[in-house]
Amino acid sequence: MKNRIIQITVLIISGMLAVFNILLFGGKHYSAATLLAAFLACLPFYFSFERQNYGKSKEIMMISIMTALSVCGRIVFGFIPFFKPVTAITIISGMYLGYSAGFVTGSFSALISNIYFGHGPWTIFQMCSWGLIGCLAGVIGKKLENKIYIIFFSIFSGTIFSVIMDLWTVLNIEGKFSLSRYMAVFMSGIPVTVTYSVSNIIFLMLMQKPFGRKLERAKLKYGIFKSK
Amino acid sequence: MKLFSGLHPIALIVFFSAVIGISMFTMNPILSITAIAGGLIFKFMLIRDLSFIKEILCYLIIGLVVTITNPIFSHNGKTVLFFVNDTPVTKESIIYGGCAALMLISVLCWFSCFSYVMTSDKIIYLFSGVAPVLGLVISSSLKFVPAMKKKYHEIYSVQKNLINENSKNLSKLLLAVKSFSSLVTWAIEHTADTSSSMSSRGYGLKNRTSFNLFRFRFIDCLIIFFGAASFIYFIFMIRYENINFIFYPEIIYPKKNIGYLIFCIIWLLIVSMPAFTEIKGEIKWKLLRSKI
Amino acid sequence: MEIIKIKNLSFTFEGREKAVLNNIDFNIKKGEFAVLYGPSGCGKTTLLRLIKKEMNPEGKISGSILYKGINISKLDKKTSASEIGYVMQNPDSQIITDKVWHEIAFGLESLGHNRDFIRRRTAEISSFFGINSWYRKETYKLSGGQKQLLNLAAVMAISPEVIILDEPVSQLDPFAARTFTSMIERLNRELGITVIMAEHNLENIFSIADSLTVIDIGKVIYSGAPVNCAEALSCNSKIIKGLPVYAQLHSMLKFNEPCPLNIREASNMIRKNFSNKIDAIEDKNNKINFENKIIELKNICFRYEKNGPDILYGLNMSVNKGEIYGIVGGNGSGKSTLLSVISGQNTPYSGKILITGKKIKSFSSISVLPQNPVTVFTGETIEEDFQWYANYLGMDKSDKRIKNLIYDFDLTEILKSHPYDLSGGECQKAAIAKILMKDPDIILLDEPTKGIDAWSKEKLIQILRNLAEGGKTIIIVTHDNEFAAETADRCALLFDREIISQDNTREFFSSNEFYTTCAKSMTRGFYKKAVTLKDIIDLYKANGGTL
Repeated sequence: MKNRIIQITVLIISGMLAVFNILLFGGKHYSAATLLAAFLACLPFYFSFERQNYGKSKEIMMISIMTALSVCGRIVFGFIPFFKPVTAITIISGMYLGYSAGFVTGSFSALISNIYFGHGPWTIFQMCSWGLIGCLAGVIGKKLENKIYIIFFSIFSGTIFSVIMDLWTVLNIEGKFSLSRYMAVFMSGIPVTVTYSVSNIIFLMLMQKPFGRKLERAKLKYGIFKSK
Repeated sequence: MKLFSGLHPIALIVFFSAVIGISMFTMNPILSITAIAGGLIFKFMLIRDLSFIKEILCYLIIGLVVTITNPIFSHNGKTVLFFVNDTPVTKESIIYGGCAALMLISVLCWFSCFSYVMTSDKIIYLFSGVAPVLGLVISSSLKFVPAMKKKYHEIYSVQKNLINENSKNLSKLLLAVKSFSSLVTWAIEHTADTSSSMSSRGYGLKNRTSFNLFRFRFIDCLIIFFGAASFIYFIFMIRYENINFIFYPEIIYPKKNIGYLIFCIIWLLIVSMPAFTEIKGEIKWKLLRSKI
Repeated sequence: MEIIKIKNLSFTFEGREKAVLNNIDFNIKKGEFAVLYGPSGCGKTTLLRLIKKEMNPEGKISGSILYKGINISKLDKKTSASEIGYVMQNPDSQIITDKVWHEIAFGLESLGHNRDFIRRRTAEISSFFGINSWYRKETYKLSGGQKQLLNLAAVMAISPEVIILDEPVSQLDPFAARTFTSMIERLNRELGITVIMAEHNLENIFSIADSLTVIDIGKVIYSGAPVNCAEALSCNSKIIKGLPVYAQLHSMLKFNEPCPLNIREASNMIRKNFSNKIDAIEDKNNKINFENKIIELKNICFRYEKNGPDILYGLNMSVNKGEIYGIVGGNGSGKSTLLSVISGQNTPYSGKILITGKKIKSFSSISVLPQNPVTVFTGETIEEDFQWYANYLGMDKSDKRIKNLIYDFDLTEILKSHPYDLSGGECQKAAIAKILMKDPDIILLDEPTKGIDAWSKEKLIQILRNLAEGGKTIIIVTHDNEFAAETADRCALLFDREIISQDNTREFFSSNEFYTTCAKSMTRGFYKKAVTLKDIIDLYKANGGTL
């Protein structure tokens, strides 16, 4: 409960930051303010993860493995552009290991894969959006084993990823928000969004079940996440 | 030489936050160009190969796209240059596009320096200071990624020998997915050993400390102070004076008073410092060597 | 003084009925070098894991394990972490962090030591283990031997009193294995650290162990000094296989003298008790038709990167149909690369590969058994995997060939198991069955003896012989000379990017003086052309000896 309170507080603070930006600078500096807000939005999840998992070696290793898998997936599926298992693994991680684990897997996938692909202001936005997808998957939980949910959530997460990243593009190109440009960027990005969604569906369909079985096996054989 | 990247991670993060933060707030081509110049020279001193030219080309393309597309979306401004399909193209919107492009490039350029200097061990250090568990997650993920890549290629080549020829189009994707799924099994089996190795080395005991190889020197203090102070000064300037250009309806230059001048000098010092450190080190090294 | 006392220990895994350990009694003195020996799956690992509190498997336990008189389950967490070290089998999976220095410091961090202490201790440990030059390296860049040494160093940094090692060298090449074993010996002899080491191959540690405990099917069947074990175990043909060649010889011939502990002593024993009137045996008629070349490599040159060094340069090789061809060579000589070139996984930048005299594009007639046979499987169980693959190959589920394979390889019992739950030997058998499903003419094996026990090795030799008789051509790459000597028809030495010498196996090993088998070293200057244990026995009999 206490975690939730902290999380909500920080979310409010980051919202206030945007307001503060408007008050202090006349609303001119959206790009910097959103960057800061995105960063702050990650913090509560990190803290709750930190507190839940201190000293639990099995859980920590499991999250590391999930993160490394999605980074590795982003690298080895390099031969098809935008067709990546990152979101799918993040969703699986969220749904089997809990929402804060999902957030950490998603956001660290962005952070670590950009060590290989190059950091930019987009890193923080990717951290935030992948993290949120993982977190949402954690909240929805086991319902995602249903195929209809999978399809729906895949499309949803592909779209939300594009929505957030396009927001970043517009804010950084212009330094402020303009709806017409946003629509233009979003429209031109529709093929990419569709690829995201399709790859999410394909990877989730292929991996969710075996992954679930593999995790169940690990739980049985090695006692991972037994307490939950 | 990589002198600058030898600084303490905290000093580096403060420095880069200040530079990138300020760059994001400035809509002033003079400041942006200074930043780009400083950043590019620094990057060149670090990498010194052909990929540098690629990077510059990339920036040029981004800049061009942003500058050209701005008039399409923004029709503000007083001076109409010409009409395209009955929509006005103004001088101000083109110049605004150019300045926005410069700002974006300066941010990208400094981020790419940041990405080069902030190696994984520094990121881990920064995380484990506040959140040891997250630091450990990053550290072990970084250990797993290369191991997994290697394992993936091993599995892929074994599976390639088993799955071949027929159904040519699908087979590469099928192979990749099959191998990836096998990689997942391997990874999950692997964690069991790693986590028992962790607990057998006492992980989970109380009062865990955190060890690192970084040393905090006087120069790091200086950098932190300098970075933080200039950022605060900048916030002050941007609130009470104006250092940004105003574009619409017409271009207004910032007032050239003492505060603005001081800010420009500080900015020049900050953005040229990394490049300057590297060049100085290089010259010193050459001199030392020539004496031998 | 006993540091570890195990009394009447029995253990059953959760969800199983059969006990893995039965009434084990086992004591270890302080400063002792104790070796646990037994075939894989005998319960060694379980026993070791029960001694280390943090690694205890889930299950039902009876009896007691005392560490310095305190029951393990009541041992304080900090004591258990700091006084008992544990090194596992797989060098990769125990490494936790991405940097060598951090790996060494990890245990010290956990115990809450301060910065100065950790700096000093890591410096000490690195100097002792010779890690200085790679102290700041990334862990994934290390070789297997270096990784295992790092694991040992990381455990030693906590300065434990007892270190437990679970088959630490079974995944390493012979050279790295020797380095590692001599480091353990140093820790034991110089620092007085108590060592408990499980092994399924005693070659390296036979002479340095103080005590030997042999376990089979969950029971202790021998406990005492290594010198006496050969005699005591002589009736157990399965267990005896893992002893060094000289100990096996001693147990077979039952001379009235202590068992030799190294090759020098063995050589003396042979000179004393054997006669060498007949010093060579006639070669069997070679059934191989040397005109029937199935695969030919001509002038192969290969490198991984455009500006990298050549791994293979001007290599020529030819293998005949129905032959078992062994390629031996040191570490990093390019053996595995050569295999990948033959199987078409890598393409040479110059040279020709001819299969039955023709240059071909598809390599479907070649199957590869990789170093880690578990990578062959992608399914959740062996059965599932076989079915998927049979389906993929367009075979019927009830195809006779699959049934025959399962029958021939005796896989019925393990069909329902997960590939990762199998022992090294079982997994390898199943993997061979799978790669045979596409009915290849040529089978390539990469280090097939890595990590499997002597018993499984014996079975593997049988399988390979049967396959070769059935007309398959087999190429083996290995650094296990004993295995090559027993299996191959012809052997070749790969060195400095090409094949240096190539001959029929007996000629090959008997003309080598240094890079050869144990049996040859033992009989050097006494017998000609004795390269395996069987050869020595044959010569012994030929000279009138009786078993």
